[in-house]
Amino acid sequence: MRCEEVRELLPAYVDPDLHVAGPVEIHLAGCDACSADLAAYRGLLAALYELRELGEEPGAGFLESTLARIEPPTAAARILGSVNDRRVRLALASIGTVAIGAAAVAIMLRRRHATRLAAAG
Amino acid sequence: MADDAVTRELLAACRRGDPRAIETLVRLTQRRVYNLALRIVGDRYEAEDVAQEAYLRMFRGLAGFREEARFETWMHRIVTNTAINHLRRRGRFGELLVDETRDVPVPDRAEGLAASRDALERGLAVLPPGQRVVIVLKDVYGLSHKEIGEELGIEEGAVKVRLHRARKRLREVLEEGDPDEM
Repeated sequence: MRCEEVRELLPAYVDPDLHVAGPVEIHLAGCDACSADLAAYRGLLAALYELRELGEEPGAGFLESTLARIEPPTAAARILGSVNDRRVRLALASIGTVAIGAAAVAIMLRRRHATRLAAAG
Repeated sequence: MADDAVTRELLAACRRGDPRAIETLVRLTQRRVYNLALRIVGDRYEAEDVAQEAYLRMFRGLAGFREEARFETWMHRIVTNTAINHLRRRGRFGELLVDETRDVPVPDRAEGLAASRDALERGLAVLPPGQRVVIVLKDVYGLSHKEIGEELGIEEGAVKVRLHRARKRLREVLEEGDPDEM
């Protein structure tokens, strides 16, 4: 591949999701100029990622006015929220497993009792 | 705000309606929420409205949020969706579909714009809106191509094309601003 072709692909190549492997990698291994170009794109992406932590603060009073608008959750939302809590789900699953086990044992004992009664009768 | 700053315990307390937990969550996330809104709608007052609306949606939806998902990604998605709906209501959504390179002024080299935050912000500002929103959502806030396509109502392939153009154009803008950087 020629440098012009490779450089045209670099804005996508730099993104792991859009990685175009093969001939580009071979070219980059032997071309310092295109490798430097790729490094510049990587630097750009790193700098862009850091922007998420930066930026200006919202205006004075934003926090207070936001909090004033937030409504408390309804009872139904609290229950749904609890069910979506991973630990609560785990606890419910454990209780369910124990309940199924207990039911299975109860059925077994009942059948055994019925068999004994039939044999005695 | 690191994602781990928003703990499972904090989210659970917010679901119960604990006012202190709700305040903590807003304090931890407000800068990011506001700046994402600002980078999409481009106006400080409108960005505050969008951010507040996004918080209302977040706290309403928190009960249904599955903790297997990352809170940060979920939050970014809600803010993006709220900001785009805001532009739609105001008849400004078309701005986000503009994907052509305009003849726009490049930041003045004399102002010392390098790969600093200001240079990046100003570089982003001169991109066509359709490219800017894609690069902001993907490279700053980490939404996937699919998520961006869904929010903007465009194909995933179109998202990739815009992203490609946006990165290329942004590098050109930054290099024209200061050839010693990038």
